[in-house]
This record gives sequence, structure tokens and C-alpha cells, in this order.
Amino acid sequence: MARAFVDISMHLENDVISDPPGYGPEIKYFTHQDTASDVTAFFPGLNEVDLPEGEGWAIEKVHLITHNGTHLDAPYHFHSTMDKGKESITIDEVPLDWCFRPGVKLDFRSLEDGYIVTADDVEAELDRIGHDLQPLEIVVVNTAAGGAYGSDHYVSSGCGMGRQATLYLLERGVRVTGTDAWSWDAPFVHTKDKYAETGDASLIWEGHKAGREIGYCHLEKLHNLEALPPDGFEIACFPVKIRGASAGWTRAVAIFDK
Amino acid sequence: MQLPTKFVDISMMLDNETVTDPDVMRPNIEYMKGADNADVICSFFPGLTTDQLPDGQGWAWERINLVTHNGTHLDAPYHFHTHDKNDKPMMTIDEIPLDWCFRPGVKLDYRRLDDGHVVTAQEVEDELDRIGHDLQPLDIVLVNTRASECYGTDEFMTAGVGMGREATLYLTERGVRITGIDAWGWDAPFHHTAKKWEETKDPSIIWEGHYAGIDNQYCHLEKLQHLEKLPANGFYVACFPCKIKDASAGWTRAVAMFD
Repeated sequence: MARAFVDISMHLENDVISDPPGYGPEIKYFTHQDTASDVTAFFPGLNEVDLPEGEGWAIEKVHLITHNGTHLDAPYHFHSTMDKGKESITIDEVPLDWCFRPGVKLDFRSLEDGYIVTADDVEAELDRIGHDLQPLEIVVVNTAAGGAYGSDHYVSSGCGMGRQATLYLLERGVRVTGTDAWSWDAPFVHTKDKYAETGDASLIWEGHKAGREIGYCHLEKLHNLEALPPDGFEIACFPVKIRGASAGWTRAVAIFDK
Repeated sequence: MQLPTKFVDISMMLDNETVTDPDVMRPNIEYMKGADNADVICSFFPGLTTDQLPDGQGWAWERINLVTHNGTHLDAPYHFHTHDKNDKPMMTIDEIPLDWCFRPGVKLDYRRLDDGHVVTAQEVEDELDRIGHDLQPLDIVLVNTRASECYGTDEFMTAGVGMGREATLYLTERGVRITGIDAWGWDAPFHHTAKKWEETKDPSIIWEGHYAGIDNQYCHLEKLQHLEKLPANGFYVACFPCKIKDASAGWTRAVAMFD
């Protein structure tokens, strides 16, 4: 069957800021010219001129964290336990069956940066788009951060998903969610102000910590969600299998039957 | 779309312990546990103290030093050369059509062939005949070698057959654009090719399967795993690569799916 693909992942790159200072990836590029001698070293007696046009192989060294670029967070990132006391699963333990499912998009682009989405907001948006939420659907949230990508204020842009909103989804059987913002929770710079005002520590990372009650995964730093309809597509988001890790990079893709 | 009812994970673990690369290019993963990071999370929220966090835990995360070719990954044509025979720039991993990366899979079983053997076009044709598969453009062709049995041992780096120039062109001339192998490289292990080079001094045997991409641009998956669990055909492969800007490869979680 003919299919159409919409790329919903961002580039992993040196130049566009998509992480707080000190947390960005560093990619070091080696060109074909740089590496010709690396290739010949494997074959004693081989000279660089023996290689087609004297070229070796292009390769990159990357120094990064598991949360750079578009990635899937495992429950282990949030807390050592999930499902009220069970050991949290790491990214290599996330069921593949969770990662290829029908997608639903919630459009929260008009909500202000730092706003914490409630369960009512989720229900109202599902009503607006006329979607009957099913277990294991992959629910992605389009925030104002999507439009801020490429600017210096990307990391502080967009609304966040609160504990209530997260549990609304999880209680209905959702296990993979996603956002185009830096984090599933509201940008820290906004929550910092709220914490300073209220002294209420339950505000901190509340959407992530909802995984203590019901283990789940979320995609962060998605991209191009504006291009998706509210539903009628599948999302593939299989994470790179890093042993015992808190997250894995993924090439998240939306797939449409033509 | 009908959802798959069964998944087979055909990716290997990215870890510190298992030797699946030469020493100079092994990955290094540094693990930070949630309890170790309570201070870090507090630093984002002035006034917050670690005892206010649930069980005093912050977030778990990892720092990783690696190359784009560690673990299961998809090579882009740009890895092989700067330009193709028509002088077009070779595609980097972020330019690979997504439409190539979700297609019916076919498995060729070469586990019985000697380590270092260079598979020929005739051997590809014979294996397709044996399994009764009518090769279609954009089928994802996976090669199961003896390397799979050597995963976790010192033999892994030198085990398995390689795909030669002829065999690679046989596939790409028929419209195949993604292939894959469970060995370290699409070409035969360098250890064996180095010996042949010493005997023959024929430079055309060096990296010949990769360099076949100069004729027809294509991608290959390297370091797949568990191909022995797959039938010869009748499944889909998903292998969307991480979108690393201008890079020669991207890590991927390759998965086989069955209706």
C-alpha cells in the first residue's frame, strides 16, 4: 500500500539551540580527506592513492546526552519506581508494541508559555477534534515551542503538561505521549517563578513524576506537528536501544495511508 | 493501516561491555542515577531542597561519547564517498527518504558461508531462488551471517561473510535502496580482506561493497541482530535513522513487524 510520511523529528546538530546551556550535543565531523589514512591503516601496504580519488570514509564523533534531539523518555528517567512501587523500566525495556500506534494531536499552540495544561483542557481538546481516545494511542502535544524552534527562546517556550493532564491520558491506557517543546513539563523558567511565589514543591516536574503512579514514556523535542491533522495517522517512534538508559534518541515519523 | 501483531527486535544493545567495534571507536556511556541528580534539579529552582523531591530523587540521565557508526545504525551514501558516478553529491543521513525506511523485508541466509567470504551476485540470485522470493524495488534486503552467533565474543569483529561489489550492484540495479547485515560491516571483515590484499595487491577489493554506492546510491544497516529469528520474507522492516545534520550515518532501532 502507498504511504506518505511526515517527519516529526528535529535535527541533532551543533548550531540550533534546543537545550539549556551546557547540555547541547557536540558533533565533530571527519571528512573523506581526513580519514584516508585511517582506512589504509587497516590494510598494510595500501596507499591513499589506491582509494577511489584518495577518499576515506566520512564519520562523526558525537558527545551528547540521551536527552538531546528528538528522544523517547523511559519511566526510569522520572523516578526509580513506576506503577506505585515497581522498578522503573529503562529505554531498552520499553515494549516495541507501544511505539507504533495511531497518533492523536492536541493543539495547544495558543496557550501561553509556561501554562500548565489541565485534565479539562485535554478533554475539551479531544471533544473539539472529535476524537474518541483509545488505549495505547500516541498523544502528541503541539505547543508554542514548535513555532519558536530555531530561536534562542525555544527552551523556554510552550505550555507544559501537568500531573492531572498526564494522568487523564494514562488512566485511559495511553502509554506514549509527546511534545514539541523541550520538556513534557512546562519550561523550568516559568515553573521557577511559580515555585518562588508558592513554595509548592509538588509543581516541580509534576508531569514527569506522574510516571510514579502509572509508568509511561514521552517523546520530547518533536518537530513539525503543525503539519499533522488531529488524527488519522500512525506514529513510529522506536527508541535507540541503549542498555539501562533513561532515554533513547528516535526518528519519530507520522505515517499516512494514501 | 493494519497494526502489526508481532514485533521482532533486530537491533543490538548500545552498551559499554560488549565488544562490537575496534578499540579506537567504542562507545562510552556514563550513567547518572536519579538519586545522584537531586542537586541538579534543585539548581533550576532556587530555594528547592532535595528532601522536597519525591524520595529525594532527581532525574536519571546519561552522557555518551560515541561515533555515528556505533550500535545498530544506517549508513548514508555520504559515508562511502563525496559524490556518485554522475557527480551528484552523496546523500547524508538527514536526506534519506523516509519512504525507503519502512518496506517489506527479505532475509538472505549466509550463515553457513566462511568468515571473510565475499558474496557474489550469483549467490544472491541463488538464495532468492531458494527462498522463492521475487525481489521488488525498495525491498529491504537483510543478510544473516555467522557474525550473529559470535555476538558477545572476541570473534564478532572477524566473523561473517561480506557483500561484494557485484552482489551489492545486483540488489541496487533492481531498485533496492536499503540493505542490512548482522556483521560489523557490509563488506567482509577487514581482517580477511587484509590477507587477500597482501596476496593480490588488488585495491579494488578494498571496501568494494561500500564503494558500489558510487554507482547507485544506497544505504545499509550494520550490526543488526536476531535475524535468525526472521522467516525469509513476509514481514516489514522499520529503520528510520536518527536525524543527525549532514552526518554519514544515524543510529536506529531497526524492528521487523508481522501482521
